[in-house]
Amino acid sequence: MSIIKLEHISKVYGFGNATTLALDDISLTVDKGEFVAIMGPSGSGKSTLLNIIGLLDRASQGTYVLDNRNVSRLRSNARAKARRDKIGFVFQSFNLLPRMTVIENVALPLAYRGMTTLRRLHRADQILEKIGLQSREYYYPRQLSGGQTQKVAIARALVNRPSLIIADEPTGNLDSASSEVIMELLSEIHHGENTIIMVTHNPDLTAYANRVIYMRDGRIHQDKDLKKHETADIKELHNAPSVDEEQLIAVRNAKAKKKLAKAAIK
Amino acid sequence: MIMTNIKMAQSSIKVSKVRSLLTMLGVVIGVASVVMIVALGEGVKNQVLSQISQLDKNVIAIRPGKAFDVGRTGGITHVNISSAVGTSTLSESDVSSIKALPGITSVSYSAMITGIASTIDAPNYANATIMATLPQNPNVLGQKLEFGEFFGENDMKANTAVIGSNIAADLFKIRDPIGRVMTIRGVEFTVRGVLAINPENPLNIGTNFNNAVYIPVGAGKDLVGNLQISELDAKVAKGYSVNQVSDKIHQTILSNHRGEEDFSIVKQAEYLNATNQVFGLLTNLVAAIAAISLLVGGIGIMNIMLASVSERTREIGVRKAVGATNNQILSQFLIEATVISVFGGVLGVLLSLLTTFAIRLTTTIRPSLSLTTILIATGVSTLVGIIFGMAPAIQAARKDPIEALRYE
Repeated sequence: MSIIKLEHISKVYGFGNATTLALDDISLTVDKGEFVAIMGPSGSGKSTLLNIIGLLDRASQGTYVLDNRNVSRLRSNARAKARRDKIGFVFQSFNLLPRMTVIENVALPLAYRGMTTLRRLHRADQILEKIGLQSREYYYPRQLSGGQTQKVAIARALVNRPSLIIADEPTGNLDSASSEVIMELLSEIHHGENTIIMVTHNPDLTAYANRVIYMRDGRIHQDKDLKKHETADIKELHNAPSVDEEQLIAVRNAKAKKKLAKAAIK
Repeated sequence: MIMTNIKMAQSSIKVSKVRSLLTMLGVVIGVASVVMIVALGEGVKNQVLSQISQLDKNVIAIRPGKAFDVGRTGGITHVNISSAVGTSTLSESDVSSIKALPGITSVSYSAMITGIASTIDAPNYANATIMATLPQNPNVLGQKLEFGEFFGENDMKANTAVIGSNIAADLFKIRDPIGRVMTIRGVEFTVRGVLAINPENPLNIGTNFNNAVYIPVGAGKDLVGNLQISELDAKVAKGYSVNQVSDKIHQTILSNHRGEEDFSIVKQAEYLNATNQVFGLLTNLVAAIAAISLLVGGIGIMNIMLASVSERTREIGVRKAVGATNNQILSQFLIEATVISVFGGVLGVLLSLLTTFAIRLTTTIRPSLSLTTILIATGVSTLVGIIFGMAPAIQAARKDPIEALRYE
């Protein structure tokens, strides 16, 4: 079952002669429960793609179906509500609100649903307990280590039970020990039937993903499934001939059908 | 959601206490000054009115000279100063012809005598208003005596005086200086009575009877020769219309003066009305000027909120990313501005309570602070917050989440 379905998505910045084509006719399907790593050099359109998938931005052209709903032409308020209900964000620079305590930060997305304070804090408390930060609930973000801060941010992303978690270089500001802790946590969340899309520059992190998408010049250059604990080889991805997205999708669909058929026989 | 927003506003005010207080200061001063000025205006007005309404409704006062012309529109066209300071146009024959009119119970007049009243203890006392008058005076003006008695018909040439309470206190340092002696223009006068205390007002419009020194008309004539009648008072009998009697008086004096209208007739109702209007107008005018500071306070709030919005761009980005709609961001900042201004308004009202209390303690002014004034002031300060918080809140709501998240 696909959770994200992008068809012929393009994004153009600027007007008149000064336009830049940030995304050039991208088609992509992501199934429920996938952990997709998006890689590529700077300026390849990773962030733009992530912003469009995360409904922070709108594509200039193309169709985007999120969780069986066409969201390509939603206005900003409708997109805000869709973000609130469907998407959790994890940022490179954590982006916790410094003047709120840990538990208030985690409960923040629920406030915009109009949930009562008591229920909000209760839900946030449950999530923090799961990720092992219950003892830090009334700390302020500045009193936490980098790894703990990112854990809180992940808790915030999980609190509204999103269909999709978007992580933009989640370990970019962390040392290697904390990075591992965070990636283990994301992996755990992935195994709990969550869909994760992560942008990263670090090829080692692809070991946690089951699929890698390599972007170049606003197009999907390579799209590869990864075996367990397999890391992607960046050079190989970069130098491989560009794939035909349409064909790729057809192949994937065929695979999925086979899987279903097998399951049916069993 | 509104409660959450108010809580968030409170916490963001708490975080930057000094800044929030300074932001509020404009509104605090604005509200405090408007409330205080209205309270002062109302207070003084009430005091003046209460002094005027001391005069009997049934008393008609006639003053010499025509103080002003009234144009066709009812506005004053000319003011004539000589009516107040020149030689009086009223004479004793006017007094006797008014006395003869039907519907008049008694008539009295007072004639100002320039000079000072002094004792050995207070040789240069300048506060006394010396007036020669008739024995009917307390009856016509409804004056009561605290001590002693007023002079009668047989005492018209006696060197005797009835004084106001301030004179008793200032010249003799006691409340009942009956039988004590004061000097007016070198002649000694014996105190025969002390008037009961009259309410005073800070402006002392008209005569302050607490500073009065009344001497008999005969003694006054011996002192200065020709008396200048500064006010003639006639009391209308029960069952007669004040307006009709005053028209009669008008005709009588007019014919006495060979058709020249060189006098003015004052009735208490008109006087009250005019005073009420003048003070109301003055209070509103000054309050309007003070309200400008409220406007400045509002601009102060807008300024700080704009700074706060750009400072918190990243916060706005995060909130939008986790699902805040534009309206939710708008209401957050609007409520924050409103909380600041309402809080400022409440502080302003408290400040005005303190200052009016201090004024009451240290001066003779009795400010009157009404609930309506306080409610209007807080209402206006709420409005100021909403109006001036709007622009920053709109700016916050319109921020693009991607750019806001990138903001350093």
